[in-house]
Amino acid sequence: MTMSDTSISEITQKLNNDGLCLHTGPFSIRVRSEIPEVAEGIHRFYSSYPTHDTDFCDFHIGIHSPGGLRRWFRPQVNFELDGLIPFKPMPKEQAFATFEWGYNYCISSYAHQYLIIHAAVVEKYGQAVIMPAQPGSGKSTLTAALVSRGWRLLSDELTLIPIEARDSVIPITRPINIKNASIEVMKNFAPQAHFGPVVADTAKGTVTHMKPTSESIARINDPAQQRLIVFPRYQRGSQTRLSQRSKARAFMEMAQQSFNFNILGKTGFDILYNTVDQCACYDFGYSQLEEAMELFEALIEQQAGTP
Amino acid sequence: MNKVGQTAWHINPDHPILLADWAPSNGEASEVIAYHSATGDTHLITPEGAQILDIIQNHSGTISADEITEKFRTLLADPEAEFDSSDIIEAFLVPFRNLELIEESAQ
Repeated sequence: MTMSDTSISEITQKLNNDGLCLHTGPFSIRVRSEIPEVAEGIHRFYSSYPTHDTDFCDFHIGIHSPGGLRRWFRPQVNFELDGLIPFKPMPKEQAFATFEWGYNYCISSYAHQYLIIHAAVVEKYGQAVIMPAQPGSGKSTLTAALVSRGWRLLSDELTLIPIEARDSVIPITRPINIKNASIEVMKNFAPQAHFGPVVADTAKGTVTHMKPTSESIARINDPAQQRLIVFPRYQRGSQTRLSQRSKARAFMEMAQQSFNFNILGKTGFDILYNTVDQCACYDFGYSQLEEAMELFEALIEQQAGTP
Repeated sequence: MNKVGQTAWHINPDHPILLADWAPSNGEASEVIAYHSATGDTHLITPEGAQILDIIQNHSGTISADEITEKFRTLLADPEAEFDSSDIIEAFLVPFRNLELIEESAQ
């Protein structure tokens, strides 16, 4: 059963009662919320995802009003994980973004059966391109653009490398978070894509979400082979350029961008060594998305050995 | 032998240093990853630095700066290279101690 069989009123009812079970690749979550923006966001972005009640869920998430005056005066929402509130309340308009960010927090804080790297992952011809980057580097914009041109989205935020299958990357396919000036850029670049409401004044600026393609969601349980590590950097007016990065320096950056490299200790070191060892590593500067698409296409064809 | 050369150094065998490197390409300088399993810190060091760490780590117990220097000299392709234990201490041992990769033993 997928969410497409579920109406928004049914979603709202489930969120208000025992919770809605959502299966997003390796993780099942149960969400409870009385906030309409959460129901609307889940209906909009998760309509193709599997949902069925299960006794076990990895995370029990709540998005709730804190009560008191805040229910009426500048209303806010709290993110709850297993009944605990790890963050300060957020404005109610940001309820769905809070759900998405909070879900990322759940994975990056607790899913230590994976080496978790702050990096986007896309795939073509079975070959995964891992794109670690600092905030503001244009990672999500590049990811969204590639996905709009037929690349499969595994994640725009979290690269999951399983301890037990360390040559692969596990999809955690979810809406792509687009920020600030990139919102208009992407709406022009991919007018066929589905975007959510634009929310201003968040901790990350103005944000919206872009729905992954149906093909990406349909293959949410299908891992990809690690093949390339590309460090993207958007710079206004810069030429499209690709330069090889040494594996040692790629390792350093990946370790810095990992959420649990230190927690995993020697295992984390071994997994990251394996990943860097089998991937070609590049720095990539760009300002023109069309040129970036052409370069990525040529790069992946070269790696996959396609004509 | 001088007193400085007899300073003793070691790596806690319970918290080994993990080293990783790859063959350089495109004429780039070779670099080595050094991961300290106790602190979780990762450092980018030179191949010579990695050789020094290897010497200390593969020695049972503490090893003096003079012994490290002699072992390092035998590993170098250029046996005529001029340096002594005070150079090794300044270039490698003190920086590595400051990074908590190695420990200086009490005399």
